Amino acid sequence: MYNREPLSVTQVNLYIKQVLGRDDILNNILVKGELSNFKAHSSGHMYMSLKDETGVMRAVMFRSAAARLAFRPENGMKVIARGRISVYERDGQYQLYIDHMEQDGIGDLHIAFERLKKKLEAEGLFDPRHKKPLPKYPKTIGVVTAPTGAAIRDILNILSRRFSYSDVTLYPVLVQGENSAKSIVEAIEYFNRTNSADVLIVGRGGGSIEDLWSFNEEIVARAIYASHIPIVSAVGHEVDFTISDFAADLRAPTPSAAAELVVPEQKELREKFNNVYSRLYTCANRVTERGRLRLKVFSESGALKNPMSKIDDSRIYLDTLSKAIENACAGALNKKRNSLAVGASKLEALSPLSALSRGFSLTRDKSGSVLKSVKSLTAGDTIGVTLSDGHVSAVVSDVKENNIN
Amino acid sequence: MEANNNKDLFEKNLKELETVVRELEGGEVSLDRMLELFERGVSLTKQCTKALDAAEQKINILIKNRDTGEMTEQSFAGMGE
Repeated sequence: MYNREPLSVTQVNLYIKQVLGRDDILNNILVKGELSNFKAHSSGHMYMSLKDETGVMRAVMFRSAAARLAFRPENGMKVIARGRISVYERDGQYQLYIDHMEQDGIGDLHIAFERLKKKLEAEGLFDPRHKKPLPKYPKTIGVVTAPTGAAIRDILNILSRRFSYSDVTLYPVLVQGENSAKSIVEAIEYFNRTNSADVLIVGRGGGSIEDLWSFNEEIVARAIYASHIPIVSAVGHEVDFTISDFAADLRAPTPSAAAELVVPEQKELREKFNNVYSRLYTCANRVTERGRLRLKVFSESGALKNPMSKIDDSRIYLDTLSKAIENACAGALNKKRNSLAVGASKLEALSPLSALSRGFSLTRDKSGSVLKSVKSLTAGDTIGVTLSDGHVSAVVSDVKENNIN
Repeated sequence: MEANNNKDLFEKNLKELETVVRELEGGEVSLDRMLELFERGVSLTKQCTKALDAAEQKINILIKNRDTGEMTEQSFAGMGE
């Protein structure tokens, strides 16, 4: 039959593997093609095919290499992969073992991005001084995004949960593809022309740099800059910055985050109102406390001049004060009212009338002014003396001034 | 329209409330003024809370008329979850 020993399948596969392994070209090759059958395994390895119009090739990217990828591979992406071609012995299939991969044409996009960014920055489109503050409690929030998909769903979820006070108007736009930039500009201009929103959220969910490209277009950046309605940009997922982000008044890392930025939390607002109540009470208390202190100061100094009427005035003042407080603060201020009553009794204790009962007397001149010195008196003057239980009129017979004074 | 007037009022009330509290907390107010501010503050707080309770979020989508290019608003209720 055959004059040679047959080789096992495994031996052949191994032999082919060795042949391929000796080839310099196959050992370090750059391949460009379109991704298909992409699968990211839970182990971290990625399995995929590279194809063009007429051919297809299997490829694998092990975890260590996959972890270094600068983008998320998706079917249909055009890529350039570097690696070696070898045989997977168990299947008898050759495949490309990729150690590095990038998106084809992305280099050009990055250059265009940087160039436009520099140009608009120089023109002042990103100037922080131009950025407008967001309204605290927007009546209407304009949303410029696709009418379907996660972005609008996330935004509406958060807006209704946080602050149902704000109405929402969605201007549906294309967020990727040829006419996308134009439709975004139209939407921004519409809200500005009709003045029908207090703040705008402009954005979409994450994606590849190509998917997000409309938000890197000059006309979109200029429309955002020209808007007199404040704009929050909400493009992508955390890491990707777009030109729109730089031009917007505020950048949110995701559509959900944008929704959180434009409205306050309803719960917080209600708590704030409750706080206002207690702050009002505290302030009112402080004012009455100050009034009480003033009364005390006054009772210690000026009351002598006209004790009775001052005390009556004080009583009336205290009554007014406590009545007013009662009306305004109901139970909350009752305590203060009590302390005011205590203040009144203290005032009484300090009254000069009680001094009279201890043997002091009050002397006045003809006009009724209280005398504090002998200097204004001469012999023959008429004076009045008030004692605890009555009044005496008297004529001065002699005036002697103390030497030690 | 009415809803919008209510919202204008809410915002006005809220702003006034902020000035009321600021003046009260500023300290230098007479007793009469304090009472006036206090009563005003309590009434404003009540009005604002009531406005929040009454608020119902409207979600609209703008639809473009293919012929005239005019935009009309329509309720965006069916989210197609």
